[in-house]
Amino acid sequence: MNRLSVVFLFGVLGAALASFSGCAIARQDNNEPVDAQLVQQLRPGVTTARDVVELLGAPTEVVQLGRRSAYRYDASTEKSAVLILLVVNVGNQDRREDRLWTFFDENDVLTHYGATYGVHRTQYALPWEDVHEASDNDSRDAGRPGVKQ
Amino acid sequence: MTRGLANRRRSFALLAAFAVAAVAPSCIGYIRSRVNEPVPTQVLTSLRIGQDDLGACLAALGAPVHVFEYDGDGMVLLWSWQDIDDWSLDVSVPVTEFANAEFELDLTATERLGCVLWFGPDLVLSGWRRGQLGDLVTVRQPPRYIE
Repeated sequence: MNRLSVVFLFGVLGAALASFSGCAIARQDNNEPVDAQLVQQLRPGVTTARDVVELLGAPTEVVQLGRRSAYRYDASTEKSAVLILLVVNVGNQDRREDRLWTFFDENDVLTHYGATYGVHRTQYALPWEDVHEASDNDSRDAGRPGVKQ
Repeated sequence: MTRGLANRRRSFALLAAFAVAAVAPSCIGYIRSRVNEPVPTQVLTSLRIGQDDLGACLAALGAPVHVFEYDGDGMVLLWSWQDIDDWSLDVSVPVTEFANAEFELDLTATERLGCVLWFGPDLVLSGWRRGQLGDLVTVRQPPRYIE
């Protein structure tokens, strides 16, 4: 087999690899995103546990903290992107959550709450891409009502 | 050994390598998995132990991933995030007509990072720690029933 034949063989194999390559994306959502505008209606010292449930629905989890209690609301989105090069496959999974914790005293009156909004920041990306860029997050936050104070 | 014979042997070795690759399908995979966003260290270090209360910490860090009971009416708040690389190599070699020999190498970093904040019954920050989740949460406490 001469040098030209070897080059031709590599060319054919390369073309075959290229023609069999592909990509795939997938998305998985869990629960409805937490409504940031509804969360802004919570008033520590005024809002009760009953008000919170009427406003936001049933919590995902209720935790007893001595005489206090806390309710958790959450949602998540996971976006996956895979580049398939027949023999070599690369992929990325990006999962973010919306979380809201409401804390109540022994009389079921809201004392504190904390919220994190992340599902709208989830990205289809490849492994070498930065998915946590501040400027990117800011632009995505701007498109979700109630997230930017 | 003549030059022509050496070239033929090299070509034969290449062909043999491709034949093995075709007959023994293998796959190299690289998956990066990211969950949530890391809590910045400078935000954690800016928290004042003995002074900042639960409200200030929630405003600085957002909502935790988990909340646990601690010291009577106190609580432990846990944040966690993940950024792992998962390399894998799968090789399958047909041994007989009905049996394959398979080799799988999985190099996954399984540790998840996080930080923990402790609050006493007065809901003032009594301490914090950052590290691998397995070191931060040693004992899982089942949730209690609400009476």
